[in-house]
Amino acid sequence: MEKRVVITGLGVISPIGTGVAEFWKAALAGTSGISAVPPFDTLPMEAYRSRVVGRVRDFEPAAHLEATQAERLDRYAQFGLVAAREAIDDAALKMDREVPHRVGVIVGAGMGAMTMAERELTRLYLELKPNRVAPGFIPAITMNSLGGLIAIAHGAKGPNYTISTACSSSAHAIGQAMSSIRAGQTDAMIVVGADASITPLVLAGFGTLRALSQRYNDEPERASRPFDRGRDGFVLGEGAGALILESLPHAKKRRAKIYAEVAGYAATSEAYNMVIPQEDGVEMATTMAMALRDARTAAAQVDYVNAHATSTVRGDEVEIRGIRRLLKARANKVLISATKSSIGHTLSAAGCIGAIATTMAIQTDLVHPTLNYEDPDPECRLPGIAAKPQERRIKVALVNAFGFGSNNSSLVLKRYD
Amino acid sequence: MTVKTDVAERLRSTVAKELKQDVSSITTEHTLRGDLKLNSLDAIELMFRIEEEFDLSIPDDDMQAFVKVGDVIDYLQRRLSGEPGAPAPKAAATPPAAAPPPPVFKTAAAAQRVTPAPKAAAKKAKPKAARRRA
Repeated sequence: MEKRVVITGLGVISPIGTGVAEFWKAALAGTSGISAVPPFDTLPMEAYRSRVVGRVRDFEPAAHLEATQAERLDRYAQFGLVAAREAIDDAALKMDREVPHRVGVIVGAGMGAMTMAERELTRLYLELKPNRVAPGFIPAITMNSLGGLIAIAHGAKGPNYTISTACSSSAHAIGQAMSSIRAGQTDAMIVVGADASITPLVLAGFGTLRALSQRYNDEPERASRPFDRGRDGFVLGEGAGALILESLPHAKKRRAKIYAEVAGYAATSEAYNMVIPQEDGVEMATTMAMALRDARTAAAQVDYVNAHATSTVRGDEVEIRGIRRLLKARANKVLISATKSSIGHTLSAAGCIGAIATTMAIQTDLVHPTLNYEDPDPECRLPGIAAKPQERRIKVALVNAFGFGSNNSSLVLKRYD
Repeated sequence: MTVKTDVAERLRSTVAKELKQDVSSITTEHTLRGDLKLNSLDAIELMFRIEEEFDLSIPDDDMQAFVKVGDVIDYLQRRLSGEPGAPAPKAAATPPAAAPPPPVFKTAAAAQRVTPAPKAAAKKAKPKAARRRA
């Protein structure tokens, strides 16, 4: 029989706080982590379409990492390492008591070491010194760099790979980790999603793609407003989320505290468009339905949806359309919230951070607010969306993450008792 | 003597800066790989810094012979005291490479599977250095 899979540890670095306790408190309080983008050297900042970002402002690498790592590792890897360590500590997972080859690492990384890549490239062209490129550059930009660093830091010798599916990367990472444990390949998995791409090139690129909010440059905290009529694009964020997944027998054997169960997962491709979801929401509904089927759970049992909801005009309404299509009458009963309203879109970290917010909702019986939901867009309006925290005992929750490249993923998390 | 002390001090403080440690914690007897815990990438970063500080270029083959902080100081002193334009590294680095103290730095690197085939590299060391300076 397939093993059940549970979450036993959490870690997060986010624009509203480092550490799960701080993150969750701020999320419930409706704190916005969106601020004006700091100047990029000599670049003309006014020429950027979007000048608001969800930046991690309180992260001091030297406070968490040894000096050389604090100086040399890319910011995304630093976020990932620190979040992973919090999750491992939180789970009280002691590697010296584990079979090392049965503890693996799966990382969701979409952009990877973008900060370092841009810096080294710029320097190469400015200084014209090929022999001065950082020797750590190649091991950093290979997309699996963070997975390797985590394995080395903790001695996790099990399967180690990276999933790169843009904004759904780390939701897929959770799903694949669940599959690995279910299949009996591993006892426990360290799952991390990390991104730190608030760089001159990436902010410009998402800007010219017309994906970012442009209307609220003077009021950053109002810029990320999923489901609101005034939304006009997402806010580029950064951060990392980490979860420890393990088989239920393994968690019980070591008397771990169990946060929730990862009960189902689905991954699909819309095979439609690189950056735009299919308008009718059928593909998103299908993905959620497949995840529920995997969890042997009926749509009518869903209590909460942690929506992908990035605050783009099209994306938000298609997701709600998909939710309505799937849940029918139940769509008016479920609670829905958009974590990106307070932290922006953390790209490949979003799946993990959404799953952490959902796990905490299950733990605390509270769903965090969707900030700036002031003037509901009729296309997105559902009774369960609110600009304030909502109380509900959640037994079944869906976590959605959709990504460029026409790919969708949904996870089903359940209360464990 | 002053030049010698000066090079030693500058090198120690360069190493300290790279390692983000106090200069008093760096002695000439410290081994780079063992005591100072430099991995192969750290060592290259350190060489960048030394090359900039002393305004010279250190060939890979010379770098392989550095075991202790003191070796780097000796090497720099030899390089810096050489007549301008003279092939200093050839004169300075070649004899010690063939002399008794084995290139521990290189061996350690090989042990960590960073530098392939230490023997082959050692054999090639001379002609390579000669070619580079030709």
